[in-house]
Amino acid sequence: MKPKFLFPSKCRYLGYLLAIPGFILGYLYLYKNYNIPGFELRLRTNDTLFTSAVENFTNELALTLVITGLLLVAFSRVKREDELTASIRLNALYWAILANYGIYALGTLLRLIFDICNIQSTNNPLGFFAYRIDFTTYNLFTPLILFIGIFYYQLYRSRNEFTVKPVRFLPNKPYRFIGKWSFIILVLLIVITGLFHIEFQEFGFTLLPFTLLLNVYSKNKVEDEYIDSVRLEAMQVAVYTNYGILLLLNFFVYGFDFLILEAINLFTIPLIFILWFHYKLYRINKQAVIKTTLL
Amino acid sequence: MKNTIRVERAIKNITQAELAELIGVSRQTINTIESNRYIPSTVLALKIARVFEKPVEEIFILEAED
Repeated sequence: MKPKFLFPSKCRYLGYLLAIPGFILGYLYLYKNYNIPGFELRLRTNDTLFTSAVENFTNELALTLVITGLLLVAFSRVKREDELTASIRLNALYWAILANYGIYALGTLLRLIFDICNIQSTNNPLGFFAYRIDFTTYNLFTPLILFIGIFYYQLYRSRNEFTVKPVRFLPNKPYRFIGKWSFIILVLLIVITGLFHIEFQEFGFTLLPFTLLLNVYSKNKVEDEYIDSVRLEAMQVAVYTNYGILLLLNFFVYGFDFLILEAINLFTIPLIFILWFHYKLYRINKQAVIKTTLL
Repeated sequence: MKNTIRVERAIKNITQAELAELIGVSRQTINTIESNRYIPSTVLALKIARVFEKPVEEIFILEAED
């Protein structure tokens, strides 16, 4: 497995240089309502309910700095890049995405329990975790942070050797089946309830990532070393594509629309992964068929 | 799969760092392979075998559970 699509190793320092001011700016914007004075454009003639006429770009700048910086830190070559560091990187990415959704699942579950049992959340530390932490906003960069943490931990935990943590998948039966059909049924439910204006969308979208994850983290019918490597590469492609699109849309989508974008972002990484992975498998199959007929 | 890299290194009298340098990987990678925690690719296995001037099968040996 040769390392692919990586930045030169010096870019890591540039990454820190961008990400740290980005985080500070983001913190000031989110929690202190700070906007860089004059850093704005008049985009529309009138205010509407969801968008203001004058758009300040402080939050866009913060997010761009954070994501670009973290991408550079995450995907720069290490000093001595070889096939093992490449494989550790891809494994770490797989764990990071899983961990990210694990945290999201925990938060969602807590919120659900608090809602159902009507628990006062103000003085409860778990309530803080369930309500005050805005997962949809944090999810814009937590996959990258978790990845950087896991990757560098595995590289530098010991001076003498790398920590190799193999990835594990759920068995094909019954999880792939459940994953596939729960996704299809959920999407249908979201569309149908949407047509009839029934209150379900929000809950539906909360569940959507988990149905996709069942597909991502379950085995194919036939599984081998090569498919394994295709799978791990697909995750990197998914992360790149996801953040590429996000960086671009960051500058064209504002206000309320951006909140929708954040909600969609909750499930785009697994979605892009599945599309890319199955496209690659299809290509591999097709080539194999052509070669056998030629022989 | 097990391997005899440690023994071969002793015979040839080279360190992990020197072997790593010869085949263009990091020292930690050699150590991780030696302790059977990572199975190298065919390319890397062939490079290692070439350094020790022996066939790959003498350095990497399949075990019953493989």
